[in-house]
Amino acid sequence: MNKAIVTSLGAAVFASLFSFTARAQDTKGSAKAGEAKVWICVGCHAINDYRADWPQVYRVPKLGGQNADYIAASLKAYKSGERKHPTMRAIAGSLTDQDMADLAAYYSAQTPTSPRNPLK
Amino acid sequence: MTKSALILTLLSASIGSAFAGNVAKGKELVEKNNCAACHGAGLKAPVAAAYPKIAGQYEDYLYYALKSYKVDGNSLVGRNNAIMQSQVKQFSDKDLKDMAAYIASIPGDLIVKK
Repeated sequence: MNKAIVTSLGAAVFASLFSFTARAQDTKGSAKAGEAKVWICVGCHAINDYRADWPQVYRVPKLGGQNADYIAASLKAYKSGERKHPTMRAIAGSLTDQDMADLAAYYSAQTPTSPRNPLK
Repeated sequence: MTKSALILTLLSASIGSAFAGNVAKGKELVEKNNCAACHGAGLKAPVAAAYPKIAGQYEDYLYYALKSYKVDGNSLVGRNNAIMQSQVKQFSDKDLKDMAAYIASIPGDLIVKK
């Protein structure tokens, strides 16, 4: 009986690990798909030294070459309100998890020699 | 005329340095606080994918971001990341500016791209 419990517990743990992996894979980003979605970002983030004026004047961050998971996590944090910023909350609020993953994949893939986005 | 030129020079110098933090002081604080424990070697190789590369990021953005973790109870400004909130608590705004200046001065992979 103990053995049966251990076996079923083991199976449950295995299943939960597997479903977690499956879920993580569901929102795998595509840099190619992101290429078409950056229109919402480029008005600020594609301009050298572009400055935001809320809540103080500062240059908006460079996104090219940044970690994909960090970009996606930041967008999620804006959407949830964990990060507060009126513009970024509005934009992130309009994005799905898939959009975020695609944008993250796109920006993380950028290097100094990347070709100019043909769609922008 | 010489006097007005002098005033102009002083003015523009003060505007130019209005933001600039002290890089050497910032380096000291960044190393002492071990920012590299999470943000990685050269602050551009984070130990977890969900952490950002920060080397070479804009100085004024870094300061804005660091300061955001200190803001509490404002509905429009602030960041709630528990790790970063506990990190920045100990620093003055001047410290944060110095750290931002140092981090921005390190060469990194970050670029502006369409």
